[in-house]
Amino acid sequence: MSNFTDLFPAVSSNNTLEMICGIGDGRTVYGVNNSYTMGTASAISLTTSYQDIQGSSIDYILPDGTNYVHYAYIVKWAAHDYSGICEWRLYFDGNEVNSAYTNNASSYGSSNHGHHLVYINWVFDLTVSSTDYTDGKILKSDWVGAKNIKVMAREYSSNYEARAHWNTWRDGTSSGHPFLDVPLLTVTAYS
Amino acid sequence: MSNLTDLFPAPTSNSILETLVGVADGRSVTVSSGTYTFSNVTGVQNLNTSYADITGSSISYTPPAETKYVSYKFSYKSDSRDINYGSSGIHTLALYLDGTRVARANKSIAGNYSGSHSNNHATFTQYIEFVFDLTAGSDDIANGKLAGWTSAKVIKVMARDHGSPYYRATIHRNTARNGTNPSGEFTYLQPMIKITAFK
Repeated sequence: MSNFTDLFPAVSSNNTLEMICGIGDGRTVYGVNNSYTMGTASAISLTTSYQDIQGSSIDYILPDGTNYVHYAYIVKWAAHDYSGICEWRLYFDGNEVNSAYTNNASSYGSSNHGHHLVYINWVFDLTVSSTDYTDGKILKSDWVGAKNIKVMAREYSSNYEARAHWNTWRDGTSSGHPFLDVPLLTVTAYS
Repeated sequence: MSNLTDLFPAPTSNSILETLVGVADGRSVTVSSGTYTFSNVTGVQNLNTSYADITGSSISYTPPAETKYVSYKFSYKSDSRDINYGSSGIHTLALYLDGTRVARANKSIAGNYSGSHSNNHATFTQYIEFVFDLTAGSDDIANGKLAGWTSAKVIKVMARDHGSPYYRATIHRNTARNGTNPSGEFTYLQPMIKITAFK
């Protein structure tokens, strides 16, 4: 006769506690214990003031046992003038994560054809002994309940304008543009 | 009375054994296969015409038992450096496993050439990703195939400029913040490694 544990072995597992993944179309995504509603994106022109980028914001609640949270936001960027220099900030609970800051641009040119994806990534480390927002290190006791994570962006200047969620071309024409390019947000909690 | 299978349902499972992910800021991350310390990248890296390790890309990894596939993803910031031939910043990437080049993973990256001027603006986030197949009958590292992987092996990315003095590239570099040149910690973006072991 088999052992009971042979018939019903312990559940195998890995260190992924949950993954929340959705595009910016206002959908609701269900995690292990909570649900999250994604923002709704539209093709927009940026300005020289930082603004929230649609589809990047989430009020995230940690699953029990979380040690790391990987925030990954993929957004379409498009040049409007010349190289379309653009600046991207990541925020946690209203505090900028300085270490996650980045900027992007295309090659310089008056045709302003530059279109590419921008990857905003950070892994929040919750194993630390004190919180350091600027480096994305968060003491677990400082992440109780929902904490907002979001991206803000601006263009460099009015000479290098930029756009987000923007497709100019489709099916061999630009007629009728802009066409929406929805962003993708993925948040993964690891033990 | 409940059925036995209601009380003891079949275990849920998937093919992921572990995921190791972290920023190259010197942190240590513990997963089932061990504790790994990421490099600490503290500035930009100018490339030249000889291959050099991309800072922050190296990790000595041992997959957990039963691993059949290992995915390695290295995310970094690419920037053009040449001030004579604007913007393209051509560079090539070479993935290495334990000192052997994985030729199948070769990659070249560049912005668009936009003429001979000083506006070397092309700068963007980028990544190289490859999946090692551990189910092969014999090692064929050039194609990323191995007959098992049971001890620590170094995975890293090397890079070089296409040429000199034109089309130069810089890694990790940010070029703007708040409508002007960045300073201090905002001048660079630390890269990230994500490794996933599958069964």
